[in-house]
Amino acid sequence: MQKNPLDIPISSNTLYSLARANQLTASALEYSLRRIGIIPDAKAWRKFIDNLLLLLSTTLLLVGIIFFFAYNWADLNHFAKFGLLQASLLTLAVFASWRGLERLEGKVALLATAVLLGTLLAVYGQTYQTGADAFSLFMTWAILIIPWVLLGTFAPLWLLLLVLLNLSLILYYGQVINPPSHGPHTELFLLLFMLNGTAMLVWENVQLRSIAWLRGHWLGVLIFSTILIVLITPTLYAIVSNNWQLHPLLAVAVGLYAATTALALWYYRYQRHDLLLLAACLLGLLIVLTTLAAKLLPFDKVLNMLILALLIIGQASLATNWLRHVAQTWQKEAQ
Amino acid sequence: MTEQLTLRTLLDDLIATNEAPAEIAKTLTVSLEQPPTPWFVNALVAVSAWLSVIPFLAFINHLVEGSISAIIVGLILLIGTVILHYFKSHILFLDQLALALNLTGQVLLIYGIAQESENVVAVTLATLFLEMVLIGIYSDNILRFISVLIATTAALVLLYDFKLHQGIHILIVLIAMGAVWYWITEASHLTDQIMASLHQPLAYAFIIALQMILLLSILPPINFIPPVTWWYSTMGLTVLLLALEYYILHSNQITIFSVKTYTIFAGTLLVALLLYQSPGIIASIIVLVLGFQRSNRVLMGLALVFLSVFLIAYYYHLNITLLMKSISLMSAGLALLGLRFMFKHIFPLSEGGQ
Repeated sequence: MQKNPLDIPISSNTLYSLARANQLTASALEYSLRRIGIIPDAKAWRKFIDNLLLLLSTTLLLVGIIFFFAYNWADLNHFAKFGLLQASLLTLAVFASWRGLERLEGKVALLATAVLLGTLLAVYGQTYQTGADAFSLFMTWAILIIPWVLLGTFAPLWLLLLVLLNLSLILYYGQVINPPSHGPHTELFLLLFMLNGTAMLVWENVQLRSIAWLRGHWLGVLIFSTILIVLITPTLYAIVSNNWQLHPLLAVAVGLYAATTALALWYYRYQRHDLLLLAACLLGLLIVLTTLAAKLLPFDKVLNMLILALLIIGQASLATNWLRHVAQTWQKEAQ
Repeated sequence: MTEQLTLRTLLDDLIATNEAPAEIAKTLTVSLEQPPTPWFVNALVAVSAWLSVIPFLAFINHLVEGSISAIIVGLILLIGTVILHYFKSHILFLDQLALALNLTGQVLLIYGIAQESENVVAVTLATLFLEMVLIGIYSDNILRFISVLIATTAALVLLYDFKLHQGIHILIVLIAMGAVWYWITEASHLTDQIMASLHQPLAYAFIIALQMILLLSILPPINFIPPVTWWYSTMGLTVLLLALEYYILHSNQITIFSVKTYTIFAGTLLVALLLYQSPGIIASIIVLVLGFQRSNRVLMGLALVFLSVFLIAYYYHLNITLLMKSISLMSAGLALLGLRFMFKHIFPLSEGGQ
């Protein structure tokens, strides 16, 4: 049975629609927004400023430290460099452990430790001229921070690990596999898809378990966008290129793109409701289908242009209509 | 932060605090209307509208010859789309087609006037007039949003042509004031018949227009861009930020003559003094504060993106060695940590900052 609307937990959207329908005055709306915590109170402001100052100061300090060692100051001998870096690492790790990883200060200190570890490895390579490929630096860095990532329960630490693994893969492809400079580099895109696809599977699994510290949305959006980009790029190449038959892996990439989009549309529509990721899928489809139409349209250039313009609008209308319909259905299901 | 409060409890509260009449519960009709269109769906529509303008222009280019015909076709498209929009068909495809054709019409009309008059002032004034008319009569959020951005660009070109280079500061401060006014009085706008439909597109457009203009402050020296004394803008934006802070402190019952107020004002002035050449950072802080004040994640996201861009540009353009940059960055980081430490003592969390 449907609940009485008066007994449904109130949201800012309900308040805004009541105000638009002139059922609440401006001051009643403002009061209500404060009452449900949309307009923050002094305590929320205090916490916001505190977190902002912490994140900003840590970022500035870390970038400052990285610049300091990148400058490779000749007056500073390598013992001093290692001493400074190791002392900073130790201090931060001890601070993180002392404050506790359940507090933001502790998490941020652990993240800073993980970043500084990379600086230490870079200074090591710079000092001893190890001659190792750059990919091994990033790979070693990634492997060494894994225990902290697992301990930290902090999404930015996972992002750092994923960025390092992606960089390692890209550099490995460029420096070790050493592919020809021309061509679609489909192998790289497929490797990146495998890496980020695995990360996305882990992410979705974690979402199902409702783990509090990963409840934020942005990391999943970033990973999913990366997956779409690494699949759409070879797909567009396959459409535009006249010699796609010479690259059999392109067909694999196109097939994976189609399968991933279909799976994502089903999953985020019916299993885990996510309108933003559905919109990302549809934007990708719009780009791919428009490129395909531009390639295949048999008419003269002028008519093709008109058809393309109408096709873009048609696709955008369908996408918008569908997204609105989905949002409405979810709202009804939630009541 | 958000309590699971029901509308019934809230109405009781409103009646108890005299914010609503006692009979409100009886007269209230709660329509569980369609949820508002999320920003990314609007962005999808806006991007596709702009994308379709390119093939439309390529198509029309073959039909139109000369500036007069561009003006005539542009006007026909504009009038046609306004009529189509006025007699709303509620068919989304037609609505989006009208939006794309309207944008195409604008491009043609402005291009035609530019070719015909060869006069920058005439073109910019015509553009400003056109955008104002469209904002007034074309009640589409995306078009209104784009119109503000086009009008801002026209105003910039006008200032450039009149060689009123320092006039950019007045434009920046006016747009920032508009943005602050729109967001902090959101409740009044939403309950006002005329402003309710203008609020969302204009409020977001002012924020984007502000940041867009301030991107000029981080561009490397280019011949055709005249040198501008950016600290004028920093000064104006700092005054606005102080006013916004005063408003927030006041609404949280913190008086102007208190240590807390002095600390916040002194911190703001210190940041403004240190970053006087970078008004973009102050503008981003204003947007961040507005975003948090309205619990608006889109605004906060925009503010953080622009704050990062302006901070990176600030350090990139500093004419000092990498070593000095690193020392400057570390000093700024330590200063902010010190400020945080001071804040913890002046605004203890246990008192809720009151």
